[in-house]
Amino acid sequence: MKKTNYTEEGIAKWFYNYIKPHKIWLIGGIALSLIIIFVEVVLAYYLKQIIDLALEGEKGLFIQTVLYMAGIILFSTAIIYFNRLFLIQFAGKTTKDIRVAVYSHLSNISVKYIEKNNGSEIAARQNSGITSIEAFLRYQMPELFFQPLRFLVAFACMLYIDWKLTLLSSMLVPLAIFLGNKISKPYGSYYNELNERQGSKGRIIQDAISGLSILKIFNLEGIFAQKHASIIDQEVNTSLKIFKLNSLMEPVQVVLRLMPFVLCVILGGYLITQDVLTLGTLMAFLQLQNYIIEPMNKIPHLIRDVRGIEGASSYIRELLNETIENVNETDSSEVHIDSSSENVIKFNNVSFRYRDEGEPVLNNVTFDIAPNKMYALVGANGSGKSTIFKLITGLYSVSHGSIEVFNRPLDERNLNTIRQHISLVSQDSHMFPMTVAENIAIGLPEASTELIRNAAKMANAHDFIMDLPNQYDTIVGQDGMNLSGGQKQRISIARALLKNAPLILLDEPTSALDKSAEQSLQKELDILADNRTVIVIAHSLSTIMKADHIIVMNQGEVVGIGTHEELLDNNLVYHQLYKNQIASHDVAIPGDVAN
Amino acid sequence: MKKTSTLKDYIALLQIIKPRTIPFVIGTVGHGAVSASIYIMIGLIMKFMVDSAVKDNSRYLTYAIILSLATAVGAGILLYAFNYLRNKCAKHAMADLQKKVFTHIEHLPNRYFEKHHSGEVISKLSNDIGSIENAFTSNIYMIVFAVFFGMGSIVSMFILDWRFAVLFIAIGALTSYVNVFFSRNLRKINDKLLERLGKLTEKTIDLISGIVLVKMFPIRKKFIQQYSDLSEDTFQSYKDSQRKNAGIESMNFFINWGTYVLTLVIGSILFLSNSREFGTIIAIGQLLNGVTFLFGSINTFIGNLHAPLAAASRIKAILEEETEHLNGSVVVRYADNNNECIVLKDVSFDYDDGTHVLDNINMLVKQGEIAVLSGPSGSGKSTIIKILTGLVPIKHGEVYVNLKQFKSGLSSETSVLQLRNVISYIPQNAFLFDTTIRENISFGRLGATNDEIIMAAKEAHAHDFIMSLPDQYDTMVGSNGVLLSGGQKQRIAIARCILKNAPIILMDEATSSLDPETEAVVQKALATLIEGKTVITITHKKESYGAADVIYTLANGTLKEDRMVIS
Ligand SMILES: Nc1ncnc2c1ncn2[C@@H]1O[C@H](COP(=O)(O)OP(=O)(O)OP(=O)(O)O)[C@@H](O)[C@H]1O
Ligand SMILES: Nc1ncnc2c1ncn2[C@@H]1O[C@H](COP(=O)(O)OP(=O)(O)OP(=O)(O)O)[C@@H](O)[C@H]1O
Ligand SMILES: [Mg+2]
Ligand SMILES: [Mg+2]
Repeated sequence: MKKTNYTEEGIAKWFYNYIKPHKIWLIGGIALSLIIIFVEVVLAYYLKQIIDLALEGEKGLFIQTVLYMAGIILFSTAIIYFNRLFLIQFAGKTTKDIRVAVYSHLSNISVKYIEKNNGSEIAARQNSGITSIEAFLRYQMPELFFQPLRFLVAFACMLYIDWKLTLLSSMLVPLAIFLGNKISKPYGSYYNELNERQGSKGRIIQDAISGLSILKIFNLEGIFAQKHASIIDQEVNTSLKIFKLNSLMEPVQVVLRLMPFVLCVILGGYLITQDVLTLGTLMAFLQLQNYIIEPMNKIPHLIRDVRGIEGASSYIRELLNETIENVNETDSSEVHIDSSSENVIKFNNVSFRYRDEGEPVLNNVTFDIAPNKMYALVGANGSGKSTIFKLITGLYSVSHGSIEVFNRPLDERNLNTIRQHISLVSQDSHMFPMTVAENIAIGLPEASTELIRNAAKMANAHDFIMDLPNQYDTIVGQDGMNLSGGQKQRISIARALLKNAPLILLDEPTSALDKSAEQSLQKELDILADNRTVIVIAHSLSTIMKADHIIVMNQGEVVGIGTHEELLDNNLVYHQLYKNQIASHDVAIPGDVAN
Repeated sequence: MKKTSTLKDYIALLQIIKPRTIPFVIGTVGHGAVSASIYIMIGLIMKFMVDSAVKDNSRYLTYAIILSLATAVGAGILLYAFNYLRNKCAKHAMADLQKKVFTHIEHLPNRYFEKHHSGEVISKLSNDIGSIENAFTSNIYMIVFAVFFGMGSIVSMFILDWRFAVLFIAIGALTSYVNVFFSRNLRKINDKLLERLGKLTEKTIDLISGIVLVKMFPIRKKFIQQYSDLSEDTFQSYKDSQRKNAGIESMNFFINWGTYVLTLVIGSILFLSNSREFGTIIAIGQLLNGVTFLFGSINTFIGNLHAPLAAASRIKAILEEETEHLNGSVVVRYADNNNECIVLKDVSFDYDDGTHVLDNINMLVKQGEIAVLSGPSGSGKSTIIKILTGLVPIKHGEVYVNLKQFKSGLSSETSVLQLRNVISYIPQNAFLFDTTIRENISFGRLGATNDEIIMAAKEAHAHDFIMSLPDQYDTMVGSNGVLLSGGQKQRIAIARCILKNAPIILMDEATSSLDPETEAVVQKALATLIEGKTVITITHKKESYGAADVIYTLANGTLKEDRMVIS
């Protein structure tokens, strides 16, 4: 992952992209803010009027002015309400867009990224990052425009009233900027740290929940509580650092609030005694002064908050910068599966590694898969069988060698189009927390109930589903926790069968099935293989022997391709792998007969 | 969902700070009092200043200057200290709360998580805790500040002119009603918002954990659509809750300015009749900020408490969830002379959702025996293991585990926790925690030495592949071990079980993902491991029946026993 150093312009640009469609609300909000500023100035002016009028004893004008003020106050109450509504609309809509953008980005991001990063960690960091962004958009972002404007307007008006007093009271602005900037330097990294901690918490909570049985049976409650506590303690440490800085801002605030006031009191008092200034003017001035004191007070906070959001949002921004999968959108070519073509899949000297260091997982792998045949992929654990499936489906991409799927190099194709034509049963059957029917229907979202049931029957799942409390409408729970191991596996087979693709990839599809379920699935596969290409990864001999061709893998290399008999005769790896099973298997072993 | 918060909710919220009440109160009250006094000082300074101008007396001016300087220095230091103190207390309280919730979650029955998605829990522990923290770092402080500011102003006002004070208390009290109007339903809206935020986290976790399915099956569009709809709903909830605040804020503007003008009008009338000093009126005008702030804002702040109150009661609900029964349905006994190790007597079992699994089954595994448990998929084999380990409670029947007194100092009847101490387990799906290989194995027996860990790995035939990984034993396995191959994962789980070396071993398809060659080696290693131990092994493979003393076949809820005749 590339660590980008975000500059203020960088983050402004980033935000602008998401703000753009909703900027009308922001502009509206700011426009209303301007009215509010204007109203405030007018109110201050009337205040001066009232006081001066009261002192002069002008009753008629006094009452008129009071009525004006009342009208203006009513008017601006409405304005304030709408100002808030606009800003809510702005922040809410923009946040929604960012949320959905992150989600759809995640759905397109490479599997490599997802596997390297814990899912719940991602979700927790995303949640906390977006919460911060929302608050920033709603409160601080408008302030970034509002406060300076307010300052300038008030400043101008005050200049008009008395330039000496004005300069005196705004003397501290550079100080405010300086201190705010100084104090808030580390905020960005602190907030990023906090976001990271949220992620670690998410990860450990997820682990504790999905591993709850193991956690309990191995009495791991204590150690996990400790791990969790240490994350919390780190979080507290970071927060305390933030609080220290925040507290440091308090005295700065006092100075910024009181100093202009004191200075004006001294000078203003003097000017009044010199009859240069009327009391009313000074009062109006002091009222206006609030409008520069407040922005001045907020400057350090705003600087801090911008730094904070830089840190709090940096994860989201990095995530959105993460390269998405090579989904070649320009490729609109249809996939033609014609049975006369020689190969469905062609691996050409493919080498592959997951990590940058260490031995490659696949080494110069070359093989062809002919259409409408059934292949078995066998080999020891970790020899790279599942990896081959990940490459065929484009979940990972290769750096050396080339892979052709449906007669065209994989990297030229739109992965989405390719994947439409592949049914995959992964080694561990994943379930979404939805109903059984919905879990099967992800294979073909528009499928009728009839089709779903047929697929379930083919996968030998229909009977057990009908025994579930709500049959096809039974909720399977997160990761299918309400089902048994074999039931999950059959649902994931049903889902792949429902998809009805010309290329079927099965990664140990019967590892959790009993013998009879395994045999009936084998029968189905036999029928399917008549007009489809099937590749099955398996350890059990009974499945392997059904295949037309067997590809033997060893430590990332293909060491033999042939039929069971051929391989037994002349493939040492294969022979070694199955010598135990063969001994107990009731099938006659050709090699033995020859002896 | 409750419409409003009750007293109980307030108590639940306030109890969170309990062990730190004193420093928290000192910090909050101190901070509030000092901040408020600054504003009150400004009012007084103004009075002196105006008086000095009107009366042409520079003594008042000096007062004003001294007062400001003293305020600046004193308040600066105090504010720093108080602010830090109260925030620190709040943060520590949040830390304790989170730790407490986490420990509680660990002890909840598995059943809880069938109804509650991990995303919901994660979201609660982030959004709700954040919300509660906000109450202590901000909302409560603001209330205290408003009270001080308001009270201070009222008192000062009384001193200056009691008639004004009475007048504004009356106006202030009236405005409270306006605010109450706006905070109706706020609680309900916030509950909904938090719930939807939780759902968003759930959806994200679902997407990521099922990413391969999302890529391989035509469901991406649907998922994005669902998420987008949910985001829209969340936005609506957000809007609802914020709109309330907008109403309150604009009303407060009205009240603030309205009363300010009113003071001036009344003050001017009084002044015109020459009964008051103008400086006093100005000061009152300034002090009025405090009074209107108190009455105008306190309701805002109390309204803002609804979110933390909702959060606190949600967290409290988790903490009140019943934990696993430690004296569960498994009766553990230590008896040297009883050679019946595992006994199930007339056990029937249904899951909560009504799935009927076991029907009056009886099972007996003697000390040192190996029992094979077989049966079709879904017949309830794994469920029997869950019962034996106390993960699910049974309602009918009895389960006994009799142990040789292998450790002194244990009572004769003991809890589930001690039962689990004597059980080693290999799960059907090798679950690995997202940490290093070393730590995953070490979970078998905490405190095992490195050599012991390596020995266990060797026996599970895992050492070689571990050593070929770039970081060897320090390799991170990823979320649920995604960075390893299926068979590698399973061998780590086996190593974990071997390291535990407990007298009872439960294996659920322990070698299902292993290749035949590795399987043979591992089976051999397991055979030595289980010698002299009591074993239940679930398998579909007939080949493994060889060493069994007894074979149980489970089908349609009933158990068939097949005892080998020892020749
Ligand atoms: N996502 C990953 N990141 C890093 N390494 C990986 C990843 N997935 C697999 N590996 C490593 O690549 C090698 C091949 O793994 P693969 O899953 O292809 O094996 P396999 O032949 O399917 O084995 P099994 O029969 O155990 O499933 C293993 O050494 C494994 O540790
Ligand atoms: N948490 C649960 N809630 C509700 N029903 C469940 C739950 N866990 C399992 N079941 C149901 O109980 C029955 C028995 O499940 P169990 O996991 O014990 O089967 P099994 O014999 O281990 O099967 P397999 O060989 O497929 O692993 C199944 O019908 C399953 O759907
Ligand atoms: Mg594999
Ligand atoms: Mg099972």
